[in-house]
Amino acid sequence: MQFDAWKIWVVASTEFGSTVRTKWFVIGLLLFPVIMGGAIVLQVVVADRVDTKPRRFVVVDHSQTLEPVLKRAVAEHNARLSDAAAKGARAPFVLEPTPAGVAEGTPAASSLGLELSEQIRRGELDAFVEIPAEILEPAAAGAPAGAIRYHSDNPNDDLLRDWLGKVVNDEVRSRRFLQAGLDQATADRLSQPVPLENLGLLERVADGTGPEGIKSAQKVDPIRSLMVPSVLMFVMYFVIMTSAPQLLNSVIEEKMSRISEVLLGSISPFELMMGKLLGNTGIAMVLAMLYVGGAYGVAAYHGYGDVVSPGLLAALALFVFLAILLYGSLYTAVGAACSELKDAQSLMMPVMILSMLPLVVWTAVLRNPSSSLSVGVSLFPPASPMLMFMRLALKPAPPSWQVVLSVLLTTATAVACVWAAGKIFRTGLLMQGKAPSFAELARWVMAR
Amino acid sequence: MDHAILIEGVTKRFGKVVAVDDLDLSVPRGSLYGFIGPNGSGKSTTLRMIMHILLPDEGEIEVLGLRDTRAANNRISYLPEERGLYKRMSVRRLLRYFGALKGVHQPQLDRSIERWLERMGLSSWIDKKVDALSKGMAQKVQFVATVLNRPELLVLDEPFTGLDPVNAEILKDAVLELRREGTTIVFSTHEMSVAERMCDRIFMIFKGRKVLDGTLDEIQSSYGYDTIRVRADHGAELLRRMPGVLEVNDHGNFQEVRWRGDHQELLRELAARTRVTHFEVTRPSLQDIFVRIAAPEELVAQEASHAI
Repeated sequence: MQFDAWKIWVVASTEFGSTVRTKWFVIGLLLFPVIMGGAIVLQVVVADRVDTKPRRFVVVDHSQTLEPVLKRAVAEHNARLSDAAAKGARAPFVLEPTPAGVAEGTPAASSLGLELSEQIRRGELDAFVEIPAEILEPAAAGAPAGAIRYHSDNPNDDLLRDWLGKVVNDEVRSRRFLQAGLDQATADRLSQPVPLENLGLLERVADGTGPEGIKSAQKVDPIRSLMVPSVLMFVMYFVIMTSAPQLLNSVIEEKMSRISEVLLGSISPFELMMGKLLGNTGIAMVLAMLYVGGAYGVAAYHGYGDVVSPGLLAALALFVFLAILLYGSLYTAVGAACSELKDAQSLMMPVMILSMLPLVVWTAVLRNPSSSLSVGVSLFPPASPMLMFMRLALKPAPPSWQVVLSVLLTTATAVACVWAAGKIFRTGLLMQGKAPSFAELARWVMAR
Repeated sequence: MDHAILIEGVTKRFGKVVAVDDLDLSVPRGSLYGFIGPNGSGKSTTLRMIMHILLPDEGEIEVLGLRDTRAANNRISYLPEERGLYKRMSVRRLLRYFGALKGVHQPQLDRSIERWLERMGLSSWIDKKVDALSKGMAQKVQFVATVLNRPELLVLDEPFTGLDPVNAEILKDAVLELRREGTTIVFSTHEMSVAERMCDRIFMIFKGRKVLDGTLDEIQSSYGYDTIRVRADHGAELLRRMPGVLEVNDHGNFQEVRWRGDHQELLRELAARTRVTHFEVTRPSLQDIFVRIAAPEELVAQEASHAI
């Protein structure tokens, strides 16, 4: 088959130009740096200034022993706030006077609880906490311990809740130790936890910076080991999934407004499809550059500028190209087979399922990149561009034979998809009316 | 090379339907060829096969001396029956796109666009969106898009359908001008008067088979002077009731009649019954020939029984 490179170029540049000219693309283009910049500014601002609304609470202390401790702890907490020009300033706490004591479990206690709840509903109070009477008694083996009961209508605000839990537990633990005849200092020393360090592997280095030329292992940084690969995978995913389906719309629009046959008078179906695919690849590249550029900006701001290597960028470009050929040709074929967007739904299902696969398994791959599941799915061509790319950013790095194999398999699949889609495109463009079944599509592919 | 298109023994099937059946046709270079035929008779399929958009199941098609028409694409232009434009593009960008797809490079492309838009009276619309064009204007823009490359062969599928008389006239003039400059033009039409007036040669396809091919004169001659054009008071009703009348083609103000036997006899019988203002023995019009070929089956059967 011979093609006219000039015509492919004309279609590609027009397809690219038409998309880049659309309003949403320009808005996205302008908005992206704004959003990224805004996110950075917001992070800076938020880091310095958290929610400082005072938390007012009431303690219903059935044990009758902890209230003075809590009062002192609140005073200490608030004192630390006042001299804290420090980062991470927190909200002050206000311990409201405790109502007259009621016995636990009596109707009076219930009505007190109701009364306090009403106060919280009216906004006069943020929370109230009930401390059980026998809090100092360690629960017998197997029996449930009496819980500290924290009531609020804002279950996700953990500031006061966590603080209360810690203060009460520290106090209870130290009193229990005391009762058992241990002083606080001994108890603290004995209950010191043993830290666990998450480390990488040792390396032998030529210049011998360490003893015997062995470089000691680096601490594992969760941002490097988890965040970066995940972000890169999602960048890849969004780039592919925002670009490739546009081909479906573009082809259906041309079919619906009867432009396809006009074009076929000037250009062969295969040239037309290749032009569209290449134009779409260009759009995907622009998007990838934007997203990666933005992500790189954020990473550099936080001191992780070195995480995106040139090799990784080259892999990104290659995999975006292959993925657009693969998915783009499938979407093109679906578009050509349908006359209306709503007909496309059923034909799109298999393509959608294929493209969902990386989302289903990516956490498993992240956790164990060299498991047989990870190797399997990252070699499966429709998922390779996302998952093998993520594995390249993960440790342990995939062996090079797997990378080469995934590129070869994806290339072969992309070529096969382009070929089959070309056949469907050629037949489908002139078809109007009912969408064909999968059996009919298969016949179109096999036709001369 | 004396023919622009040579079709030899071409058959095209869609499933069980034979759209074009063993067709032979030769279109001489520089001619203006009209394709006529009822809807669904294979006109568009034939044009699409000439354009290599469809491939024939059997037979050969040679266009501009080449068997592989794709290679000659930039020398051929095609305006399909189902034609649309990108609604959101400006006229200039649209024409640049279609021109570039025909292999026309700048700066000739822009010159050609301006010249043709002026010829069509659309110069002031060059930077307007296609959306804003009326249907007639859009149709003229579509025509311009097909001629930017100065094609050697121009294939038009019903180019004049839906145009008002003024725009139709502008388009016909443009087609005739292209022909004077040496372009071979093939177009299909449902308007017999257009085919009669404009075409050197006429080709009619019916149920996938060639039924007419030749100059208008040749076609009409083959039918002879068998038609009588009558203008008479209450002519249509009267003629339909008269025995011996094979067929009445009612044009409203006059009727075209085929009569078994001597036409003097018809004139005498008519004159005896009504006032005759016009009585002419003539050759059948293309319209008449078309209807005779493509008439419903029962008419054909009726005709056959009369002929015995």
